[in-house]
Amino acid sequence: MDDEFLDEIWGQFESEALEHCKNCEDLLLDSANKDLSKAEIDSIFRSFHSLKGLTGSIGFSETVTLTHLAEDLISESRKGTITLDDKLRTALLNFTDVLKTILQKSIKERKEVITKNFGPCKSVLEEILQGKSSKIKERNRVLNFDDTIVSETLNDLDLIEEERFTQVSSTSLDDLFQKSGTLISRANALKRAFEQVGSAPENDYANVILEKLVNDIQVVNGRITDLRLISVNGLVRRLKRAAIDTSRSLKKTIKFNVKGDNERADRSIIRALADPLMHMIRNSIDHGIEESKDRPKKGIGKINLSFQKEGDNLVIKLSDDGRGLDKEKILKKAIEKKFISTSNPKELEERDIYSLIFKPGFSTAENVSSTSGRGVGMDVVEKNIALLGGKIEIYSEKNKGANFSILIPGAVSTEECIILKDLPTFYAVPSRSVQWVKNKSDLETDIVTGTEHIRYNKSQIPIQNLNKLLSLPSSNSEGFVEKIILLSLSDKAIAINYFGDFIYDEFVFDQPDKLISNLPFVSGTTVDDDRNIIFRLNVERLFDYDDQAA
Amino acid sequence: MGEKMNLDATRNVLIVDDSKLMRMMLKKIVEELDMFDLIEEAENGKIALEKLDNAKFEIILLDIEMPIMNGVEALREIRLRHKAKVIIVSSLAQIGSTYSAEVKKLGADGIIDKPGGALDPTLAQKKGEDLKHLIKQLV
Repeated sequence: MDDEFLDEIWGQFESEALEHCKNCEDLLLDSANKDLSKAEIDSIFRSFHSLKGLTGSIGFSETVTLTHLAEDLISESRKGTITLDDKLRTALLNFTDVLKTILQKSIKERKEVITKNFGPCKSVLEEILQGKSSKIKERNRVLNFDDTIVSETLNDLDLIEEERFTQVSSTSLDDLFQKSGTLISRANALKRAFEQVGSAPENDYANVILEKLVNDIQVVNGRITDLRLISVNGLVRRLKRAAIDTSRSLKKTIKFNVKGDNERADRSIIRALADPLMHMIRNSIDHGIEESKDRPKKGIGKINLSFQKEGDNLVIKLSDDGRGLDKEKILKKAIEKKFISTSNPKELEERDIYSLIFKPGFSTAENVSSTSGRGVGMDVVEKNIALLGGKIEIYSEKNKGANFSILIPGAVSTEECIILKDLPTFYAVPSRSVQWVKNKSDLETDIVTGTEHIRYNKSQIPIQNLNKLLSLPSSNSEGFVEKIILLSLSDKAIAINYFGDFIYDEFVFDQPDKLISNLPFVSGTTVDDDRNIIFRLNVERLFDYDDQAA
Repeated sequence: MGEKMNLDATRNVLIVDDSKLMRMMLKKIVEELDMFDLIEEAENGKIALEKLDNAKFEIILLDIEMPIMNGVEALREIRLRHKAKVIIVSSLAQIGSTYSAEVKKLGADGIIDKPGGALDPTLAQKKGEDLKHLIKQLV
């Protein structure tokens, strides 16, 4: 076979095999929380079957014995002769880890490379298949089932994955990104300048070139953004894994729900979030969720994790429905450890008490358990998050559970915006949430209960004033045309009026500094070419506020 | 381009497998036979049936385990409407297995294990030859 064809074969083999590994992992992890549907069971079987087929067809004579075993196991479980319980799930997850190491090393060497974890993995699979389950228990302890070892394997994988990439220092990437953002603003300014000159025929050629230039810049900017952003999906998989391992070792049954696992964020942020989140999830299972006998009415312990992008911020929420943080205990401990003086602990606000758990050396568990007490405390969690420029907040209710909310700024990207020139202030509204901007004089309005409303999608939307909404003094309206901007988020809409013009532009926003961060609806600032400060409106929050007011 | 050509007058092969890698390897083997004008691919039974409605195929290489519509279901449909010779290419259909009996009953013209051992030229050669031999027998 010619080399070119072999190259293609290897490339195809790699992408298909890794894709099937990923599918197996996702479904196996899901199966810990819920019964898989028939389609999902078929899909997981097909992936295991394909892994066997792939390793066979590429000619991995050793590895195929392993993939064959895994296929047999999942096939037996599909038939119902073996239950897909924690033990089998762990063994199969371990199998995908081992397989990934083998694949990655082999693909690099262009020949089958057997790693040292191959043998143990194979014998575990064999033993389960033969139903000699009793012997496995002891061996499980040595074999990757202790999570310290699991994390070692994962780190190995990380390293191998990194070898496939060229390393670029993140500062130069940041710099490049910032520059490219400026470039977009400049190009847009140039475009506007051209528009003002007017479309004289002699400018046609220049206009075409300019159009192309702006497009190219946008493409380059998009690529650079992509370089920095990765999906949180991989992180989520690791966290699910940690949750399953922890719940099993503590013999607590939990349901781990994840929302927003397709959100993307800066790769350095995702990397830095892994340890804190892992630790917090272990904490929730260990300290938050009660033993099942202590929560007879609440049923299975629930842990919810969500990722959501709000403007340029990544908001991560972790909550459990366990016993909640114990204020008394925290206070007692804090006094004991002399973090606070005994004089007036009652004056402390609830959130101040909770934030005591971030003090170095704080640990409420009477006996530091092997699960969460691993030397990494909540102090390290807070520190790691602070290093990202983020903050963490705690809300807790006794016997209802604890909620952690982490806000990480700057999963940065340029944003297409509509700039409202409500002199003397400029506001940027992300164009994805803008339905339209119209002159008010062109619209039909109705007065409903004393307020002016516009009609939109068969409903009446009250017109709200921009400055009032932002609790700012009203702006200078004289000589300016009154405009209405209609914002929408899912099925809700808000109509806002202001006086002035608007333009389209793209910006990279900075975090608002302390002074500005007091403005509730401002989520970022930037400066345009004429040195005007532009405030980015936090549309999500506007809608939240609107909901509450209604 | 497929639609415009008069496919009825040409000798065509359809390879049905959800793995692109497998389709690549099968295609290579069929190409080496140098007997066919067009080698088409489909990634599941449903797409295969659509392609069969648009053109005539002499040989169909059919995998069993596929998403959306698997090989057994596809074979049942193919037999109702098309004359093409169907070769089941699957490790599931080993001689004597329940699958092997079922696909025979449904009218498969041949059953063969998946080609393998891309790394091992002799093995790849042997498996490739088996498939080529089978195709030659059928056309």
